[in-house]
Amino acid sequence: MAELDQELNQQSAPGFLDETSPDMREAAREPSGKPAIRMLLADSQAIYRVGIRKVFALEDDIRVVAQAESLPALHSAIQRYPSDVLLIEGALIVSTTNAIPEIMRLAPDIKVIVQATADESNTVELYRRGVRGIVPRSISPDLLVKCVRKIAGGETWIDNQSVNWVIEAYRSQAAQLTSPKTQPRLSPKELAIIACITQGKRNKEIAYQLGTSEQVIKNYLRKIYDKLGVSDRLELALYCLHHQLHKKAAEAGINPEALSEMQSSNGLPRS
Amino acid sequence: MGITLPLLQRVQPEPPTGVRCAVRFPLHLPARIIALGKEFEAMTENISASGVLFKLDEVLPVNTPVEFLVEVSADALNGHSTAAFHCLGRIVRSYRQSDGAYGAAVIDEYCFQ
Repeated sequence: MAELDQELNQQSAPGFLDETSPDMREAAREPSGKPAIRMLLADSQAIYRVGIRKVFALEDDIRVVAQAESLPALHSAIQRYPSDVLLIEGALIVSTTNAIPEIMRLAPDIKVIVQATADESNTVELYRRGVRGIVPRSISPDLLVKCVRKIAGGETWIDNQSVNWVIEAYRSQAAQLTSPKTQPRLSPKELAIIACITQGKRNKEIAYQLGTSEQVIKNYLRKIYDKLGVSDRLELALYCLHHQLHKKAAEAGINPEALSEMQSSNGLPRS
Repeated sequence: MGITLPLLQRVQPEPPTGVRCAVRFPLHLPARIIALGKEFEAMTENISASGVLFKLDEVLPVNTPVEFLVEVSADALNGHSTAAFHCLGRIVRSYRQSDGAYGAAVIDEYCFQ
């Protein structure tokens, strides 16, 4: 108990980032000589981190190389300790929309497991962003160890219900993008920008044509991507061709040149 | 022979960090493919942000590197000048049916013309 108290006290320090000793890092090899799976552990609850470490301490092929209490500490750990798998508490990322993409950016090869409750929108979004597995906090030690091994081996850990959610999300996204009945409303400016994109113009050229700055165009593009559910310029152009947005814009009297002239003649400030 | 095109603002699709759910748009656009040292005329069957399914006269072997230009007519752009997107990719699937040969290519890089 005293040993546990000591470990908990140590781990309760704000922004706690535990480093394994160089000896442990050197020893991160299975008895057979194969490299062990290097794990990063990120959890806000010290007692949980202690418990998880003890679970993996029994395994020859898995080593917890570092642990973190917060996202900033995790970012630091990712950069300092090359790891194969990250086990992260869902609560640490719930309020940060780009938490997973940021982790992927810092360590493109790391495989992420999130401990979170089963929830359709959350599950779909996590897998969409690149998470390899979602497990409940109540997962048994044996199953968690199996999960880490499978994911380190390149598999995805996903239960039947989550598979249905992900496939359904893919189906409805496809239907939404290709169905003519579910087109979001686009403003004249947005239509003008889209017309320029499909003509192959770059952001700088579009900004010049519309009398605005490149940053404004980028901001508009981000909004357009979100509105239409497209991921990049190419998908945007394809969406426009499929839905014949140019014809609709022309019918509404919208084209980039006219929009630019209209702004000039009305003395409107260039946005 | 061959298309010599300036490589303007080459874009690589996002690395596969997430689940790739690129929607396929059923667009039928003319395309020119350069592969195996030859040029082929083709028509797209469907296009997504990550790949294209072509219909053409010849079956291209899987893993063949391809360079292709998909043309967008002025009519499709409602009277504006024509446009095109130039892509580099490779064949990942090919087969022949009674009405012709088909090849599916992934897009590794693209740029608008």
